[in-house]
Amino acid sequence: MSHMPNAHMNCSHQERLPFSLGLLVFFTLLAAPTALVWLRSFPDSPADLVFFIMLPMLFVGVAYDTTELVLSLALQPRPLPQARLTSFPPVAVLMTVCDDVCREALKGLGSQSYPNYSVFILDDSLDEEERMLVDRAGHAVLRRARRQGHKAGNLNFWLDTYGTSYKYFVILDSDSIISEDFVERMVEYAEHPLNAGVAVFQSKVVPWNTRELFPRLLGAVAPLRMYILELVANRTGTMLSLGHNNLMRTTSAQQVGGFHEYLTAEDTVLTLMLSAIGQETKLVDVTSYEAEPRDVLRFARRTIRWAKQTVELFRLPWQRASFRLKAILCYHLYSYSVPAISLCLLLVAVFGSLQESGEPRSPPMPTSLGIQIGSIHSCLTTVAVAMYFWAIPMTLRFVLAIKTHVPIRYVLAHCLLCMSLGFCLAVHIAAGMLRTALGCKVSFAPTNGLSAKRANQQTLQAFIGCMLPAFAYCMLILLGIIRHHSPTIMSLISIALGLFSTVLVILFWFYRDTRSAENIQ
Amino acid sequence: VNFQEGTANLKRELESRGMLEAKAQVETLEKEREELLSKPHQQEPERAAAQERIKAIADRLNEISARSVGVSFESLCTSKKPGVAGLLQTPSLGSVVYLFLVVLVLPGVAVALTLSIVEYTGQMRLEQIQSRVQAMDERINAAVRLNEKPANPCSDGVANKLGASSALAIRLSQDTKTPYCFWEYLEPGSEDVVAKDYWGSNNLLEKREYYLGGTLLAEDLFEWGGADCFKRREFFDSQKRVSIVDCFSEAGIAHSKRYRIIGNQFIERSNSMRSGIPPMLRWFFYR
Repeated sequence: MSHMPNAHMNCSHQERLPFSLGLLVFFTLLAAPTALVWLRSFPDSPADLVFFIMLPMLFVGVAYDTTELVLSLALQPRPLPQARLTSFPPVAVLMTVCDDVCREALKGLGSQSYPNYSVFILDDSLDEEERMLVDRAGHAVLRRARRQGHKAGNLNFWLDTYGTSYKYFVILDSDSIISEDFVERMVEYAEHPLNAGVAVFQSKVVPWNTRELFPRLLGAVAPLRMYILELVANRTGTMLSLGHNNLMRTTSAQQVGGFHEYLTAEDTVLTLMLSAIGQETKLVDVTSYEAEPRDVLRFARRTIRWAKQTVELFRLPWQRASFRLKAILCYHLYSYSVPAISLCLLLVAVFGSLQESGEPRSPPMPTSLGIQIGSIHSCLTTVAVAMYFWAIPMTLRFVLAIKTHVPIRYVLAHCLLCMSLGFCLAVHIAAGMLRTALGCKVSFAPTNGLSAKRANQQTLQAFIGCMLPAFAYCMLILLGIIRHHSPTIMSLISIALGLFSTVLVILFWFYRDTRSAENIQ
Repeated sequence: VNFQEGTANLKRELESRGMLEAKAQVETLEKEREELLSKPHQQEPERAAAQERIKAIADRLNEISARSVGVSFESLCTSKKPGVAGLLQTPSLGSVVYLFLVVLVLPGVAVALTLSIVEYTGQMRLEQIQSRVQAMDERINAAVRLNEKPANPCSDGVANKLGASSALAIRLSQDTKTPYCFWEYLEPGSEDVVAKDYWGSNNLLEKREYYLGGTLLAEDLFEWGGADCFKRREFFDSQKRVSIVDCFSEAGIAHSKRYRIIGNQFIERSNSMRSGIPPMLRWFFYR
């Protein structure tokens, strides 16, 4: 451990430069379009003013994406050094299960090439059938008398009971699949003295359930995502633990008092707590597998849960944690809120132009952009500006996709899917985030588990519930367009039609996936 | 380490999160520690065991604190608030959000505010110019209103005759570029031109220009032949670009008002101002 402070200091110093470079690129990309629009505009009405002030908010996402992609192309990978193992410290492989046993994942648990490891299944299942499946797997099973603290409580229970006997532990979710040499390769990284400041070694996680269309599309860009994380998050010190398929130093976990049981995002919390004591999380070049949500419902539930968990993190100050991690969490908060912000702004654009005793006047966006009525529509200019700033990240993404052998059609399909889902779930996500911000507890149900089936019934209602605002929203936009006789506002029709079509796509997907899930059952 | 303060803070935090069981655990540990400390341990093994137990209690408190509050127990043992420097060095997650919000929103507010102030002052200036121009227009019109309609505005006598009955002096000048003439309206006793009327073919008034200290403020352009925008009044900015275009019908009623915003682009505004047509244009104005 004597290497730790120096190693950490070196790491921090090496990470500061790429992070500062990233900040510079980000703020340049944010300031350029904002200044361009500001210079050509004048806030002429309250609706105009809202647009004027909120414009940078809309550009943040594009700037962030582009920065990440530019850094991915500009930075060189610096893989962590690996040690040649001469001794084999004890490693525990922990699989957390909560009524969501996955047979495929259980099968490969006991076939590791590493000579000194034990497998524990930390079972929180209530369902008898699930418990029997766990018992039959042939590994040590640890069950708690009381289920408290969700996954964190489960892990803490193991940490308190067996923690002192193992130097490292691997956390796996019930759907995690690892290769035979997974533990060995992870330990090689952990044992290298230069990696002493790293507490969590995160593997590259890609999906294994790619036979169905929905998870295949969701997971198609995983290699690309991992590539970006390796180059950007690793190099800038902004890597967050994914919570599973990673190896962790037991002493580090004990040093921070174990896993946080009050907040449900125990993985992010641990990263923050470790960063407060100068320890890091790094992505290493070991591939492992997980299951993506099988259908739209599960995806919706997971996304909403992640959004709520992100808000939940803001309940605590995390004063000693790294600023870089806090900045990334702020971006996560933004990324979950931005669909709702965009929809609100579109409404302002349509109805803000109908003020002044119902007499149509030039809409806010056109006025802001200073475009003459009857000539080029300012809305189209807005779209053009946005497209221009989207075209750059998309092109960069294609370059990276080619580099990581991800088919471009998958990248496109993934983008479209995420955009349409983002629109459909915007209201629901925003409501969930608001409830969490007001102090409501975040309920935690595994994505593909038994309880997930029960939760899915609720989500089904919730999903239909959140489709209604989406429809109502489209109607409002159309109403605004019909009421507004100015040809300028008519350009918004294209946006409204786009929104309509995404809703239809989602409905189709929802219907198809529900039917296929029923057929499987 | 102020242990009592630490446990008090921890209990308060746990209570606020509704973790009453953990709070009860803290109370038990606190009590046990107090008992161990209050008991005199004469013998060495007993003393060592007590010390070890106290350490175990501290570890357990640290665990509870980390798992529920997210900070070490040690950090709860001080009520000292971090100063401004401390907050800047280690800002909380919430303050980082506020920082980003300020960075994103403040420039927008500042720019909007600045633009509004510039627009407001510009608007005030424009309104002054508009009323000055309108006043000048009426002053010129008053001079000719009750006179006969000139058969030939370019003849010497007409300008002199009209000028004699007006508060303004009227000087006839021959246009060097066209075969027609223009009238210059001057403040009495000075050579300051305040307006110019340009006469075109068929003795029709084509244009009227308004000046202040030699600077062109605005001009009225007349379109003959039944156009909706019979009189078009254009105001000029400091760069001599058209900044406002007012349109009036033949009856002097405003049709529209358009403001230049950027480049060659204008926005439409409602206009309730009336501006009469110069009496010399139609014979009935002279009656």
